[in-house]
Amino acid sequence: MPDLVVGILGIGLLLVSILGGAPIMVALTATGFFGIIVLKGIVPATAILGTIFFSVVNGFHFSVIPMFLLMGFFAMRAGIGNDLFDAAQKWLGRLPGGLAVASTGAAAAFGAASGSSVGTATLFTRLALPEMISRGYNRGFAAASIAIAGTLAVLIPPSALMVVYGILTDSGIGKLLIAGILPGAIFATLLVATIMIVALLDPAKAPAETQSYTWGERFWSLRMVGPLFLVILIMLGGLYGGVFTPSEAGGVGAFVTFVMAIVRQRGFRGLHLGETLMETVTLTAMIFAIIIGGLLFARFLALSGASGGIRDLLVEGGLSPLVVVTIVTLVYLVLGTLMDAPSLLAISLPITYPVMLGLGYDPLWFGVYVVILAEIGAVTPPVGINCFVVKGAAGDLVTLEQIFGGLWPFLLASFLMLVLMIIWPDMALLLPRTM
Amino acid sequence: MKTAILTLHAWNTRLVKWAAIVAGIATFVIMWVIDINAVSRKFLNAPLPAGVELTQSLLPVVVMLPFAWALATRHHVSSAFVTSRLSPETRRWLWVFWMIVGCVLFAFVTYGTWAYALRSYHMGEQVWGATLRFPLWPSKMAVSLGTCLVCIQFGLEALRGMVTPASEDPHVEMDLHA
Repeated sequence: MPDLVVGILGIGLLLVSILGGAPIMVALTATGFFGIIVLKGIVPATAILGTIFFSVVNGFHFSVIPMFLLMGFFAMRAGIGNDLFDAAQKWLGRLPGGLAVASTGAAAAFGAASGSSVGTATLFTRLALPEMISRGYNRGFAAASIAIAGTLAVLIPPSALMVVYGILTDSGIGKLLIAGILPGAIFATLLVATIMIVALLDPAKAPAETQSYTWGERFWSLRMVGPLFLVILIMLGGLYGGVFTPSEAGGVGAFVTFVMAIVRQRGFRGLHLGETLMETVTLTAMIFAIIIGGLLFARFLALSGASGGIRDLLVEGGLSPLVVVTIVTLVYLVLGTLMDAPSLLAISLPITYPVMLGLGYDPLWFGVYVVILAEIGAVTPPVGINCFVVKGAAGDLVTLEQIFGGLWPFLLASFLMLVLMIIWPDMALLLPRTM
Repeated sequence: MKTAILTLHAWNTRLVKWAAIVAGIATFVIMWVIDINAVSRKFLNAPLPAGVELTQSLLPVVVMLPFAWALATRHHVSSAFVTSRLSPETRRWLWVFWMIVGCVLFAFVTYGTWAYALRSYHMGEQVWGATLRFPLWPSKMAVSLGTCLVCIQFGLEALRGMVTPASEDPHVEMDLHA
């Protein structure tokens, strides 16, 4: 059987396995391993297994993933989300759709500390949704605004998903993280603008806020979030200026949020250090299992010539780059509705990355673009994990149908974001270029 | 038979939880090593001896030892898009099938990583570039230990799935809502 056919069959087998309920890491590793056995024999395949596992988990710069995750869990224990929402409510609450704007702003800031889309969505559902509903907000609109705001966490650095992209494509992690800053800020602005437009067009969906705060109350609300912003600034500034490596930025971030959690919990007891560390390593293992499987699968596709074949077909097939980008976008939007973001990247990048590079797209730009796509998938029916998370955290306050129904304005904003990324690629490249 | 399998499963789950606890401690150590190294390098111009290499060597412990715990607590993600439409019994047997595949697969992985670690041990391979030199094989063996634990966990999950009807397995119901 020609190698290329083996590669194509491997892609089919992978998709069937995933749809058949296989753990994604098993599907990726098994397809990669058995595929290499068919192509090269069992001895080289087993040798590749031995080296690939160690080479991935023995890199200093890969320690950035557990450090970012640890930082996120400490940030949650420190109750930073509560402080951010309180401050955002006092500063932004009087805008049209003020509470939803406040929860989006706070989620963006919290996302910068936690990097967890699901964690951010859970937290802000509990904090903001009951408040919004009690003030007369449309349930679906309120819940959808939180589900989409959660996705900002993986775009705004530090982002573990960006690191996953960096490892899978062997791109510079520091530059990737910096590349997410401007698109993250623009996407957050677009979401806020969407809330305000909806609130102005249909005030019943987001009634105006009547409560006002004094300047003293507003500044006092910053007492706990101020240090957080300082840390984020130091981390990003350190990365941008080359003072820190990404791992060091993660380590420093984890340490500072650790101290903040101790201060907030008045000691170690409320910190639940053991539980926090267990959550961190479990999630770390899950992410690395997918990364290793993805790299093995990529090795198999490269050996079979399938990734090169697909690249040649799309790059030299006479299709315009815009058509190819549209095809890639549609593939991600469809697959993104079926699986979580790290799995989506591990499965797709071995195929799409060479294509996009072949078309001349910058790896940093594609990293940001693909992360946005993965996160749109995280709110899109039928799976839309963030919507399920919001529903799970909200209990009977809102139905899944109401959440999906409230998403449309935000999905339009997301597509506008994709268009902006395509017509102005420098949005992602401006900052890394000056590093 | 069923009791023996469930007891074995419970014992192994306890074991892999301890492996994850060790990984958690290693994570906390890494945080301190990275911070102390960064601060001493920047402000004292004296980096922690072998700080980078120590972090590198601890990372396999952090990543690989909790692999089996992640499986025992069903943290390894899968797509329930199609399977959630199947009957609980079909889902149960599909799960058993994938656990068997995982067990066979990780038996190969353990063999491959063990052979790699053993070669390193026989060569007396050491960490290069550090001011303090130490052997590399413990890190490589940590990888094998992690894959061996997950291989056993896959096997026990398969056995447990075989003897536990879907109606008695809360995970089958959980997967439906995943």
